[in-house]
Amino acid sequence: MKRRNLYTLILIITVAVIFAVGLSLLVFAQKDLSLHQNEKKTIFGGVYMTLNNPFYQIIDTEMRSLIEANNGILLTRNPSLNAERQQEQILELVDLGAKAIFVNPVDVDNIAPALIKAREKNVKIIAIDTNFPDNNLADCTIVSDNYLAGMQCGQHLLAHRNSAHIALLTHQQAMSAQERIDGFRNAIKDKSEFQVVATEDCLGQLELAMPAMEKILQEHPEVDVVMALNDPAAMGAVAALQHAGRLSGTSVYGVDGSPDVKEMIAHGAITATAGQEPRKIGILAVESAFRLLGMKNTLPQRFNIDQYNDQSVITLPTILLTRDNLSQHPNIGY
Amino acid sequence: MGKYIKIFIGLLILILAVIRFWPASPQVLTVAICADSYWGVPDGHPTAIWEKAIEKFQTQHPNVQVKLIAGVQKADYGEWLAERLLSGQEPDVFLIPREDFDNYASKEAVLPLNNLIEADSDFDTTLYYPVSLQSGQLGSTFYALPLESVPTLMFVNKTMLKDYQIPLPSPTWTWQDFYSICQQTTKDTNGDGKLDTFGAYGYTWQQAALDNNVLLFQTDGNNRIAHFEGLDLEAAIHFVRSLQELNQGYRPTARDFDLGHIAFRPLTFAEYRTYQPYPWRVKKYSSFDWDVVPFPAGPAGQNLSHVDTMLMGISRHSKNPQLAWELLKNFSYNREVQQSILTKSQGLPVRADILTDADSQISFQQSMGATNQNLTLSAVHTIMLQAISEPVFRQNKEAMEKANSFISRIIEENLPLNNNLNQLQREINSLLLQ
Repeated sequence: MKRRNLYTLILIITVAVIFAVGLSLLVFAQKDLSLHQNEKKTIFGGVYMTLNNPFYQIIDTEMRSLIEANNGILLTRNPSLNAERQQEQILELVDLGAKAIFVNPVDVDNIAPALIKAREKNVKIIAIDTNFPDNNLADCTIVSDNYLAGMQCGQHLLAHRNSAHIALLTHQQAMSAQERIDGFRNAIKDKSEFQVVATEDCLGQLELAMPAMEKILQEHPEVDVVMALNDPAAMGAVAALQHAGRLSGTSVYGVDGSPDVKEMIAHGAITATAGQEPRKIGILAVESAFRLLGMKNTLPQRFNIDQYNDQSVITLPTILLTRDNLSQHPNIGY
Repeated sequence: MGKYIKIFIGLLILILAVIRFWPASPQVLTVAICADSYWGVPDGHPTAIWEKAIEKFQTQHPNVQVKLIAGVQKADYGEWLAERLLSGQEPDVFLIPREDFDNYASKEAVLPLNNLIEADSDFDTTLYYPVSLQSGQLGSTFYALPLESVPTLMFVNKTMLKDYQIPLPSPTWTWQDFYSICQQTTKDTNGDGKLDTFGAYGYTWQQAALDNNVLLFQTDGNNRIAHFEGLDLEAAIHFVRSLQELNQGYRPTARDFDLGHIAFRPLTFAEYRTYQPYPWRVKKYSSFDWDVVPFPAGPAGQNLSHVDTMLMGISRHSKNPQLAWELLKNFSYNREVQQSILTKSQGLPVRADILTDADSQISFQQSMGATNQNLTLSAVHTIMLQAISEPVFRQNKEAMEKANSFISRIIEENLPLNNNLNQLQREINSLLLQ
């Protein structure tokens, strides 16, 4: 074969390959023909560590109603505490065209790769109910003062007991939970009569908190105070204590302000909970996303976002709810 | 130049064919379920059973990779699946929402399973509860297999009955027994002139109709027929009205029930399974002792429960329907997987032989903890054998809303029935024809 003919053949093969690959991509590739694609609505994504916790259900509901009232769509995903699945879901939401994603991480130390990829595609990331170790991973963070929440529980304990054998129910992978426990520990740190005798991780889940508490009661029957990272864990502790006939005489603290725990505080089964404001967190998260995307909230503002002066981290104080002040704070918790 | 064009076209066809038909390796099956509990009760790890079943399947099929899609909440799952089906991107195997089954089956948007069933000598449909299996059928064609079923039962506040010295109803109790207990438990206990305890909450005319042998909707192939007339339905409406009259104008609330002030309330098996044992017991009804019994039989009926079933089907576009069938069968039919539902989920296995197994009774009791429950698996088995699954279809929701508003008004305002039900029947049947 002459050299010129060879070059021509190579050229034809190259063109044919490029043409065929291009054509196959057009014909065979899976295209997103979803209904949403045809709607001229702004897509938002929401990914929480688990929607088994009513706290995140409240945030999601609040965000959905505000987003939908402003011609947007909220696509919610629930990884059920599976960190790998959560990363896939973030990338799925990016592929579906989300302009902003509200994230509450399953594992705060391992979520960075998915967030970096999302941000490379100019997707805004709003962290919900937790800080990230690297604040640059989120465009905005809406969080309760988790350290204060733990501190308030600790201070209440100091004011109402002379000594305590304390069990901690924790969730090590969640930064917000770590901060609550840090706040509690710091409140009691100089008091030698107040000793932490046991710590168990329960992922903040009621059904895991009960066996964790049962284990503690078996190994440390002297426990008379429980500090739980959230209300579901506090209820799991109550289940174990009630089942073991140990509820009376044991003080249980939680964080959230859920309706069930408020009811239990009223009946004396739980001592106190540091009340958060999930509805406010949801509204401020959406307002922040709108601000970042240059959108305008057409509804009257329920909380003045402008007071936060473009802060990238908005921290909301918690209020300790006890039997004595429950009726004074009907809007704290949910 | 003609020679080069021929080479070009030949190469183009060859490359396109290779791209189109290049076998994927390893084979990938996708399966979709919702992220939260199908039964609407709290569950920290609702996908655990199916994840374990997938692991087992992959051990048996080492060249197959199964990808689980489980991020969408049940409330959004129907819309999510509809979008996937519309774009032809549905997973190979997927959960079919009960309310969409009729629509997808009638349009054959999911794969008919009859050929796969007939060709599978290891598959025996007689092992299923008929009520569970029939939920996945339209006419004589199977479009889905059942995964779990949940009957509705009657919650009974044992503490209240004990306080009033009333024995627990027997499994064959009647409306007469039910009314008598409600009469005895509707009382002003503190003498302030207001009633404090009540007989029943949430016992609807629809449940009363079922208990009196009235099936409001029936299907005959693709035809749907409504039954909103007749003496048995009239008796059900009169009975619900007589129960309400005991309350002297007060409308008991869910809170009255939660506080232990009401004797009876319909409850799903999933709620029973969740809230009877610890830890979730701490969240609901922990201040009194309670259990479940079958529904009371009306004069023309039996002690029947309504049952809901979780369904799963195969995509028409699945590249490997045989493999997808094996996976579906692994979820629905595998004895080990179905057995695990009894202890790890809040629903019931759909295979009848599991509930009658002596080991199942022991593991069920262990998973229910040390609670003082009356309900045995053999009683649940009897309930499942008699249970009814009313068809759910496109017009059904609208028809039920119409009927409910109409009949509730008759009950609330104490209106005479006369020929009102005949009129309702006509209106609903014409709605079904649309």
